[in-house]
Amino acid sequence: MLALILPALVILVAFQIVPILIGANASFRSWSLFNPQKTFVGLANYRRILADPLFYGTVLPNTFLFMLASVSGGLLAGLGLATLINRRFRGQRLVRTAILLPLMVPPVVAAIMITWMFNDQFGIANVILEALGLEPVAWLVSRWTSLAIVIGTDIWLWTPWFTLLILAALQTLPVEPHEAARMDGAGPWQVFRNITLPLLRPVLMVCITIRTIDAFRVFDIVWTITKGGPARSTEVFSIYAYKQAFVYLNFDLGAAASMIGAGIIMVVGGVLYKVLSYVVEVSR
Amino acid sequence: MSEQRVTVNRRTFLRTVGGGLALGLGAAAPAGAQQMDLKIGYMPHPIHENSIKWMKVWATEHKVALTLVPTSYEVYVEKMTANLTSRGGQYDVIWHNDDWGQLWGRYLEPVDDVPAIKKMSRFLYEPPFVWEGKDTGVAFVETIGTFFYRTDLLKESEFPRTWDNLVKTCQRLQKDGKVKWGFAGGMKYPHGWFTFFWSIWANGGDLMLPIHERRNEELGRHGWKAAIAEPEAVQAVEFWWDNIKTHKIVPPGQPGYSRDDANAIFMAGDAAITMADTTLYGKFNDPKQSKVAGKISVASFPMGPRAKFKSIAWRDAWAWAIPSHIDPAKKKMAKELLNWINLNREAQVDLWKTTGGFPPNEEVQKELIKTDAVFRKFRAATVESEKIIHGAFYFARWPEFFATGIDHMVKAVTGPRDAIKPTLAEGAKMMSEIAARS
Repeated sequence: MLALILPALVILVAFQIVPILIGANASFRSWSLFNPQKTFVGLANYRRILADPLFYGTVLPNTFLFMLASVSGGLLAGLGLATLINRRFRGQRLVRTAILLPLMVPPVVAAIMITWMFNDQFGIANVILEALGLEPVAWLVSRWTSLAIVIGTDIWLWTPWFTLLILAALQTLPVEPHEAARMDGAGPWQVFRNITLPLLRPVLMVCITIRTIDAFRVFDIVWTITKGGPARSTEVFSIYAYKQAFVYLNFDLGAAASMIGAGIIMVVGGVLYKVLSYVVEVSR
Repeated sequence: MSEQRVTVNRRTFLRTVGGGLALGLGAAAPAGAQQMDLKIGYMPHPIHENSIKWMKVWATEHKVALTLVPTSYEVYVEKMTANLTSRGGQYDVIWHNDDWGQLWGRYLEPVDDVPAIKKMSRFLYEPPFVWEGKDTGVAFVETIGTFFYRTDLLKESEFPRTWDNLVKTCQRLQKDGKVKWGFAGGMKYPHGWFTFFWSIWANGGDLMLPIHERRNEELGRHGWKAAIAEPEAVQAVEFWWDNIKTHKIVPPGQPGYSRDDANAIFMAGDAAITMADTTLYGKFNDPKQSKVAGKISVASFPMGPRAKFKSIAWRDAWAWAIPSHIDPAKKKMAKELLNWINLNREAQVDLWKTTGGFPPNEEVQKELIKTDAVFRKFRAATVESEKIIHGAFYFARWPEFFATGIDHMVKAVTGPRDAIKPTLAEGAKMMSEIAARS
């Protein structure tokens, strides 16, 4: 038995546990890439990160806003699409394939496409605005339009994932409660709200839990579209940690920021897991 | 029976793999003994590509194999710093920008024994490429910023010499419907040279005090004081705020532009003027890439109201460097290669003709001054300015200092005008603290 587990265990230890321990060690030391003296400084790096107004005033709010908007946007769009295509109609397969397309696009490629679409000089978004007689917008110069573009891109990328899982769940729901409700005179909205949604609750909670944890770590699309700018106003947690470590070369602060982030996501994940367990228990 | 078959198969497999490995290693050994390999870490850019073109010529003559490892500018410093500090074997020759001098100094092989360096201006080397009294890079091009303008829109005599004239000229061209924007330049980190920095310098300011000082000892002696809240810098940032929001001579998206974004606008024919390294001349003048090819010239910076000199320019270099931890035979070979490129007249002239980058060999520059009118014009617009400075600073925390400065300037030009001064004061305080940790 041990021999079977050993290869996976070695890989896990070598590529996950050891790097995490090295990172944790760096977070307690004065450790920059260009001057690796590695003096032990206790919690000083953690204090600096937690006292950084950018971290608590911009980075954490951006991260939670992104998490909330992206997960709820993707969930609502996915739920809507899954409900719409959970019926027989001509071209059903074609529509299902088309909906899945964003899932096949690498996030960085999608982000580059979006960046060009919202380029203030050459982008299609401003061409449309101008065709409608409106003023063009410098989309990536304001915090809120930049964040909206990033969140919109993430929703576009992840909606098919929600759709796929919710559609699979919809197709396994029992038909009897739906038929009974209809016979009792319930309209489509009442059936959806009082029968379908409660039955979907465990699947929705799994989707929310997985996506929330994943959204907290978002890096690629934010980096590609805004690099955290303008003036660090769209930085999320992972960009902040990356910049500390690899742009400013403060390996110690980057490691401390990562450990703080790991702590936050463990708390968020723990709460979501409790909610998930409760929902699954209630739905039985 | 079944077990026996498994044993036979495993033996056969091991024999085959073992035999194959032995054959492969045997075949590789004599080849390795004959040919040396140099791994080149570079950024895909016309200048690097030109230098690599000549490296290949040398490598063929000397039967050296070159392995080219391109790395994006966006991750170059991080990637190379990690390689140097971990003594990785991925590179034997690396691109070494002037503003990373002190960051990597301790990890680089001294190159004072490369004779070609004696043909170059010492200004390029001190302080950027000097670590503990030794040179750490062999320059392969001078990098100098200049103004590019459209000759079909502006005569040489019409090019604005002051900020006030720059605004008026751009507005006139826009009003006459000749061009969409008067000026476009990179602004966001790490592209601040093409807007904020040149304008601060042209207005008599600098990023640190005392102005134009680049020696770390002197900067330390004066308390590592950032200067972006000084009147000259505040006025320069106000100049950009006005250009974006009041005069509307630059695109409103400029605070989010990299140099590539601005170059694209200029090459598309949508801006009359841009500011860029001379090394972009080849690209701007290439009809396959640029709508303004054949219609561009260069000029020196328009000066601000607080200017202390008639003209100012920065003069720096990009260099190739050798990691100190590589094999001594490779170090020797790499030095021979870098020496050859810089002493090769044909390679040096080709660098200028193809890209617009100034060859670092001053003997070749003197020859070009005599024979090439365009080169003379480029020199007049840049290195013949009244005041020449370095375009960066050379302490280890420069990347963080630089990023913090640009972020605050971008914040200032995108916020309310009356918040410019306090925003820059906040940035200056942070920058001073960062520099003091160097």
